[in-house]
Amino acid sequence: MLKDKLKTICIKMADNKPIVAVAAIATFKAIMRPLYSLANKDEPKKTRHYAALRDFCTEAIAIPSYILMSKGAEIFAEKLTIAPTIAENISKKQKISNVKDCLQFIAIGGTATFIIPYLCNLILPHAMNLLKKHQDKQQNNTPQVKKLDTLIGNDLKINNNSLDKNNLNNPVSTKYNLWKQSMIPSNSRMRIGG
Amino acid sequence: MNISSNPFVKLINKPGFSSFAQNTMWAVGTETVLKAIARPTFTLMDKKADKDVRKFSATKEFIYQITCLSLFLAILNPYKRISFNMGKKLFNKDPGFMKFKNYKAFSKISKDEQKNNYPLIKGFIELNSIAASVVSLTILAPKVAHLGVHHILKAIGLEKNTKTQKTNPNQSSLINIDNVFQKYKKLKNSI
Repeated sequence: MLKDKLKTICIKMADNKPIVAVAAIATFKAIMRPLYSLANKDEPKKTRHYAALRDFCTEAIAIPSYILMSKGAEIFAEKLTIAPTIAENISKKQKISNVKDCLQFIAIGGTATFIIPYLCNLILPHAMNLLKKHQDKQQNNTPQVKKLDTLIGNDLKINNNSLDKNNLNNPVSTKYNLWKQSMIPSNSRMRIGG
Repeated sequence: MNISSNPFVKLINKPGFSSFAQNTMWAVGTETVLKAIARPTFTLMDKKADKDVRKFSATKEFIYQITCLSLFLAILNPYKRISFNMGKKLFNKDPGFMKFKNYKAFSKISKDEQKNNYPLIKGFIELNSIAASVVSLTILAPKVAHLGVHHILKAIGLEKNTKTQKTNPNQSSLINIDNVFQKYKKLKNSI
């Protein structure tokens, strides 16, 4: 039974449309490229998420663009078909189908060359900004940063501020020393005061 | 206006062009070449990004697409022969497969004859071509590109030779506390 199904599929595939291969590749790229980006341990987590989202968005823009443009190009097939000659020995229906395939091919080329890069330049910056805002929001809400904000906010109100970091009676130095011992990741790249 | 005199209309009505368009290798190959030219061009034209970043991204994308194309072309033709032999074993009772000894004999007949008279063989080869394209472009090419692209970018000077330094967990954090105190003092004096 599986063999019969495969046979049916193969017979249909004999009249192969260019869009089938291109859409299949784009779909698998939309799955695999983000997975590769996420699995790349050489990059920090933020960069991985950023790259994965960018890869996914690129392919997510590409797939409907290919399908819409190729379907759109097919509309003109009947108008642009010249009647088949005797030498060609094919029916008009077959000729229209061939012209549709040619228009699909040209539409795919045009989409890959102009439309997808243009749409990516248009849409991706907004998507990346949203991700960046989300990541910045998460980072600003971490306990270490909140603690720093509170410390600086409170300490500005203290009148007697000797900046001797070894003076344990000084609340500023005590708090900062405690904070130094706290669990801040060493690769956080967090800079204070610029 | 007579459309049959238009060169574009003449092109799309040529039987050879439709065979070209229906072939997976030409369709995917042409698309990859166009992407290799267009994407880096658009990246370089993006004025919002930094110049060095643009150059880096464009070069990386170009190398990636060329890697995809090379791998795809290297795999596809040999794979067509393998898939013909696979189909011969799978559909051993099919008269079409029994007629041709190997893929070379089958490829000698015209594309229209292949499509009309031997649709099972043509379809099986196209299906396997698509599968090979998917595997080479989505699984193999990123791996190969990842291995080679950074070396190429470093060789042409677009990527700095930075080694990741493993930080000692016993060391203090990157925050320079003395610097913090100096800045706090400046801030306090300014209030």
